[in-house]
Amino acid sequence: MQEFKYFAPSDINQALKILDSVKGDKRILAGGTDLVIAIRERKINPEVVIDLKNTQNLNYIKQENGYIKIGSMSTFTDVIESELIKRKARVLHESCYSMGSPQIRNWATIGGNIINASPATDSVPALMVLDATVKLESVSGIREFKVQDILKGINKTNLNENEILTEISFKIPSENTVTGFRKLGRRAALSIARISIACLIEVEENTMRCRDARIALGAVAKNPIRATSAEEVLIGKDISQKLIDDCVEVISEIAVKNIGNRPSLPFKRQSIKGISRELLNRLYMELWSN
Amino acid sequence: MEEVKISFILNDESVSVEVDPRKRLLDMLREDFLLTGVKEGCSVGECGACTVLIDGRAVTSCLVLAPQVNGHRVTTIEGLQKNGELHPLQQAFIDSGAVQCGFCTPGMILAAKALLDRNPHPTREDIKTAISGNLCRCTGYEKIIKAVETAVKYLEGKDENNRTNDRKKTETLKKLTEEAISDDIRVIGKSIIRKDALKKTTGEALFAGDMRFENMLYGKVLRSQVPHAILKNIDTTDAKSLPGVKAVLTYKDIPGANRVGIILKDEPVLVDHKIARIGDPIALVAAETQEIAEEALERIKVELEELPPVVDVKEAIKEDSVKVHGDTNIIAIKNLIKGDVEEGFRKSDIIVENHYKTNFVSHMFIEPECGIGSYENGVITVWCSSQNVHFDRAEVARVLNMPRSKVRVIQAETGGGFGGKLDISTQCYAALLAYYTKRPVKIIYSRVESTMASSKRHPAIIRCKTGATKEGKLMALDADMILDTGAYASYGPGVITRTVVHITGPYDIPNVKVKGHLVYTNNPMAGAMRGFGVPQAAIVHESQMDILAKELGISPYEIRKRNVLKPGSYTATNQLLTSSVGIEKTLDAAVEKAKEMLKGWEGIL
Repeated sequence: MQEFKYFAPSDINQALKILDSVKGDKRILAGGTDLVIAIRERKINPEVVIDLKNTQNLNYIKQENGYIKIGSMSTFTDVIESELIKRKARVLHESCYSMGSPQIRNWATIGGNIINASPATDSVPALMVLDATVKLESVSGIREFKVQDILKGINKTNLNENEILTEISFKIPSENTVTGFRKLGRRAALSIARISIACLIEVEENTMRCRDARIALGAVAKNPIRATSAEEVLIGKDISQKLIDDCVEVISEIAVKNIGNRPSLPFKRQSIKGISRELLNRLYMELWSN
Repeated sequence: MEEVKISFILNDESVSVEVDPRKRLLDMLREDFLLTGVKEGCSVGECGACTVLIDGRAVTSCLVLAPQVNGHRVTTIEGLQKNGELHPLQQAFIDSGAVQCGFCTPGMILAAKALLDRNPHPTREDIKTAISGNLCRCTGYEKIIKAVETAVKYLEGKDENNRTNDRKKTETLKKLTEEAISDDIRVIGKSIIRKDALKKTTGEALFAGDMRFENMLYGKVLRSQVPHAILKNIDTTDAKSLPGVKAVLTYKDIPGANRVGIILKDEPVLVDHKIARIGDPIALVAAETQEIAEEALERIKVELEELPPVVDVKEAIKEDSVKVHGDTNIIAIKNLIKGDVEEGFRKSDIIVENHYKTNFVSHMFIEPECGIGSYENGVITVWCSSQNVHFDRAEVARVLNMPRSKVRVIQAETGGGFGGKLDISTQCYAALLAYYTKRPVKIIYSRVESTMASSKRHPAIIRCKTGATKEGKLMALDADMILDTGAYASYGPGVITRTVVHITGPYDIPNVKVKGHLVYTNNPMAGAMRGFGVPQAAIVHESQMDILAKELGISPYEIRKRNVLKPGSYTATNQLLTSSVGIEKTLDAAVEKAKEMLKGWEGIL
């Protein structure tokens, strides 16, 4: 394994200064559950590693002015155990709970999961339906993007060399909103998503009339995608079993179009319908009982 | 490399060390603190054997860089005993029989501890989630879940059998485990404690990878990346010149035989002529460190003439196919003929014929193969993870051209085998390197290397035709099959026999004709694995029974009931069964159990 210079900055300003001043192939070490393997298998050969595990004030989950703000170094376990997220953004709770094993959830971070830009990321589809914003900080200032806008292919982002993702935030969904996440892996625990779906449905107060719908699919393209035409099936109409069936068909079409001609296509064409139907039916029931 | 100074709490003691930041927490704990209860099984966070607690949370230490624990509290299995007393979880694992090979045990106990420390009254689902990141290949998890439930009772102070009281002290327990087997050898019908359970729950059990010797070197194997090729030349000059390299060996350095194998001696210790599979061993290196050994491998220059591989058994049996060894790929043809199948089919009212295909399956024992060789006073000693030490000893002696009396093979604790550690793995390599360097040499396979080099379950292609009367009585079975043994025979000749003779299942069939081919291909080697050829047959005979039942309009239970072997039946090999034929009882018991489990669904039975 190649030698690298190791830094463990104590606060974010120090981290940004180091990141800005050092030369060579530099990597931010968050949880490291992907990075440590990649370094050991020599898939990457960093000259500088900046470890944020012990950097202060990057691990928090808080409510502020109608928004939920999550520090990028919050672990998946932090997110799962947050009552705030369980209550207000169940889709994120469920997606984080489905990731890896207890051991990996205890160490991996939500920021690392976003920046790793895996096609099969569990957190990103959930954050997309929450319309989450990410905050990128550098010595020269702050940039903000919608989470999907920083993802530029497999393991690629548009972050500048001197930027660190510090915070993820989203507006707290209204009381008339239901959300959820479903994924299909090869087994229940420790599986990488073969296909996943996140969904948010908001209805007009005391009706079943859909005010807003957001659907995101994971592991069908290089990065998760929004299934806009499937969302349009729902928006403005009364949610019904028939409408859900139509929506499921459109979701499957979108998945098929994005997957392209791969060996997994026949499997995914059907399985996306299965998990979509399960999720949408559940949300439908929740809307009824609300 | 510039070291980083870190301080943390390790098993309740403050420690400060300077550490190479490239080191994983796993390596630091095992190498610098000799806490070898932390096991390495997969190196990618999948198996959970390396689980430790960081600030009370379970984390796989193979994914953590050592300096990341600066300022944190780390607990390993060695930190669980307090004042010589076992942690209730350790006791419960012993008492519940949750310890088998023991390789997953430390990680499993720590994952459970992380749960119980937060949630002293977990549900069964909570327990399953808590250990979902820890793989066990021996127990089927049931005993482990029971152990955690038992630990909950111990922690609550409830202990119906009052077993913990006299067992509180580790010393007492040690005595008890020894007495359990020495006191009274009559053990049938008794619940006994495994002799090695205690040291496996405390992390003291030494697997080969945990052993350290003075002056020890590290060995590595250069393996083929292609499935089929002629070896033209190997140049080891550059590798030998690397400082820290103590030996680079090729087939030319083998003092004795260069072919090993349990039934046929067809597998080269080091390739001398032909590469027959991806992963075939080409050269060995011994060096002062793992890293130097790895670098030396990269410096070995191998010239190959690649050949087209044969990977499909149907191709492999053709006359004009690519040949893996010699002039035919067919190692064995086995025939089983009983009665007259043609006559049997004539008397059948219904005949079903189907084709079946099964796949390679890996044993995936959690402990990758490891062996340490030493050469002292003219005696070779190998400590290894193995299921077959006497065979190992004979092969090492043949390869080194030494009398068996000068070769000792000692089985270290072995972290699962399931048939996959019956073949030779590290034994000859470690012995050869020790022989040439006169120093102890340890070889540990990575998970990838283990998966590449170890045997697999034989994939089978089976055609089966079964005839029955309209009453559902089986009259005839005609089957043929091809088993893929990959590049080397291993246990294949035994496995094919078993698939052939078991294809009729536990059923009385008067007329049988079966033909089996065992063939070489350039695929991974297939050998012994749990069931040894029988699961391949079982998928066929049981599927045939279900299909016949459906065609005849009777239940799957009924067709089996009408055909099971009983005392007085003749098997496919014409053996008269006189007593102890358990299938009918088993079938009835299974149906009763299924009815209980499938309340409301009894109709499907």
